[in-house]
Amino acid sequence: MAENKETKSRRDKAREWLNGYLTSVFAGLSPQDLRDMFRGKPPGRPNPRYKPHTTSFWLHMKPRWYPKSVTRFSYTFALGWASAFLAVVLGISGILLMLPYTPSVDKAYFDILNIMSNVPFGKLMRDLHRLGAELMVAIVMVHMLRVYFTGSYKQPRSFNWTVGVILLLITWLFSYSGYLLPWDQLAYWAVTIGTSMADSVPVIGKNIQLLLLGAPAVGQPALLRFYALHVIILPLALIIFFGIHYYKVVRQKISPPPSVAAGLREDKERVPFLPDVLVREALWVILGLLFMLISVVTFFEAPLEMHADPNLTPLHSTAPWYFLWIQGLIKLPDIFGGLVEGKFIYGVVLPGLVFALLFALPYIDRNPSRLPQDRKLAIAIGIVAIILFGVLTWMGTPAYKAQASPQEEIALEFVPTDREGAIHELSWDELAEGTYDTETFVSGAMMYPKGLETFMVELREAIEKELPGGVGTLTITVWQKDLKRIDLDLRWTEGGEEHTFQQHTYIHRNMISD
Amino acid sequence: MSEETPAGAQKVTRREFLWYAWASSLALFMAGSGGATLAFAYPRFKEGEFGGKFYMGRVEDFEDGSVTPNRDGKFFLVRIGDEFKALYQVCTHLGCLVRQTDEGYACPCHGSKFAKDGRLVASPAPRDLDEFAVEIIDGEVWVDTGAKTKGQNRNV
Repeated sequence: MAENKETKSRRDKAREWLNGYLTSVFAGLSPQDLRDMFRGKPPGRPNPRYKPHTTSFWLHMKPRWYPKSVTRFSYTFALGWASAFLAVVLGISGILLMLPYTPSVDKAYFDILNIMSNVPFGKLMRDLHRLGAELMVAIVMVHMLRVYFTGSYKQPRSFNWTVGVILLLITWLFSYSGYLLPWDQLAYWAVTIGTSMADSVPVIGKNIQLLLLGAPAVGQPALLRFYALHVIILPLALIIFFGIHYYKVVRQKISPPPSVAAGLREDKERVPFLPDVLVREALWVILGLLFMLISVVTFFEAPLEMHADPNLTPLHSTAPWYFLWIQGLIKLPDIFGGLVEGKFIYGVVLPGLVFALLFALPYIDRNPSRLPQDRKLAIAIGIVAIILFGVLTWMGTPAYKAQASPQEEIALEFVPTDREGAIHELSWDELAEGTYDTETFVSGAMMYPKGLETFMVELREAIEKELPGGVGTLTITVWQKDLKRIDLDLRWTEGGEEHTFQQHTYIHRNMISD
Repeated sequence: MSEETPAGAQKVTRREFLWYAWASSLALFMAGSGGATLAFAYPRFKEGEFGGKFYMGRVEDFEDGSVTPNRDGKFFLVRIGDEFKALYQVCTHLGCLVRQTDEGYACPCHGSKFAKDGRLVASPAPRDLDEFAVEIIDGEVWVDTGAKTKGQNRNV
């Protein structure tokens, strides 16, 4: 009997110790508290599930509960949460990508090639990072729109709106500095164009550009500076400002829906963080990661063009999509009579004004009501701004005012030398050696491989549209083992004179995925 | 249905079980991610790079008793009779590179001495020079700097 008592108390002592240890690991929640939480039991009083919020570092900033009206998905669409989620994904993938990458103009491009082909999961990391970056810029802008349309930027949250605009700037700088790092044509010329606007600032413009680039043109110093910005300066700035931003959100509480704020309906119900909101956020992590992974495995690929060539600006150079609106602006006619450069007004002053307006918004909009019916002007202005952004973005694309001559455009579409075009859609066998003329080409007779037929038909249509009366000749030659040369000759008559244009490229068997 | 006894033993409910199932899947995912991170971060060795394999030449190219240094691979290829040895140039004491002498090799840092075949002759090094695996494939001599065997411990 005495023996049983001893073993029992030793086992009990062990269980007691384990319970105590686990309680400290879970910041005050005992194993029984946890089990009750898992089983869906309402908490006792005092509520033990608040303890982790008061005693642990990580949960301290998170609120202990949310009003139910604020948790409705169609109110905030979890956009702020999604920004934080993406920041974590970008941080982790970014750190991993730092391991095989050297910010040197001689090595960077080849390191990217190495990451995509030789490093296990390298391509996955790069694609995830790029996808996260594009999504991040889009989501923070949509988050800003949501906050605007629900009027949440009004007092007492005006300071936090300002911090948010700073975060938007930081996000854009992040994306722009990262854009340069692959050191391909896309990166090099996007940054050259962007930083040339700094040069247009009167008096101090040249100095600003020199500070940005560390040299008169984009080169090694610029790469190092952008790298430093991207991996340490901006992350530190992000941590500081995100900390302020999220702290204010929790302290001031997420703004209630406008109808609740105006007292038109009540909201007394509370949704606790542990376990309800935690489970929901865990679900969003799973869905978010799943969406990103599926995208990266199916349709999304981080682009990589040719190695940066300071002596060759490719046709149709564009800024990253979120800066296309600026590129559209600077295409507008120069109406300032030579006093100031058009690109200064359109590229620096106007965007600067837009930012100033964003910063000052809560202090311009004095209307204390957040209800849409009381804010018709604000809502109208918001919609107009979105439309304007869309139009300017379209104007930034090559479709507006940046088309080359018709023969160059046709050659670019069908047989480009520095990117993928129509010719690259054919399989290796479909690139049958021979000469093919749009004038004499017979389609529908099953004489040629299908891909080649489609190519010639489309080429003929394009020539009819852009170079009426013109003729295109495609010549495919076997140049070396596994290498074919593709020549495109265009002939047309203009003003009584005959014109010709030629472009050729080489295709290696390994370039085609078949 | 939960049964609560005074000892606190409760039957696991469906809801509780799902919590544990999700937590396990999370643990599995983290473990997988950890593995993928390791695979990502672990270096790969290329031929001709230190850590990979080096092609030295054909068997006939090396005389009996010859010592051929290789700078990138950091080894001496020694032929003794019909046997080839690839001696790692790093002294087994504290890591300085040994230099060739008439009798073999000597370490400039603390005075350790080795014979031509790597055997320890004078301390303070504790063991013979380490060796890389040498493979003779179709008469070709290959040294694998990724496969190192430690030299024998010796008291001199």
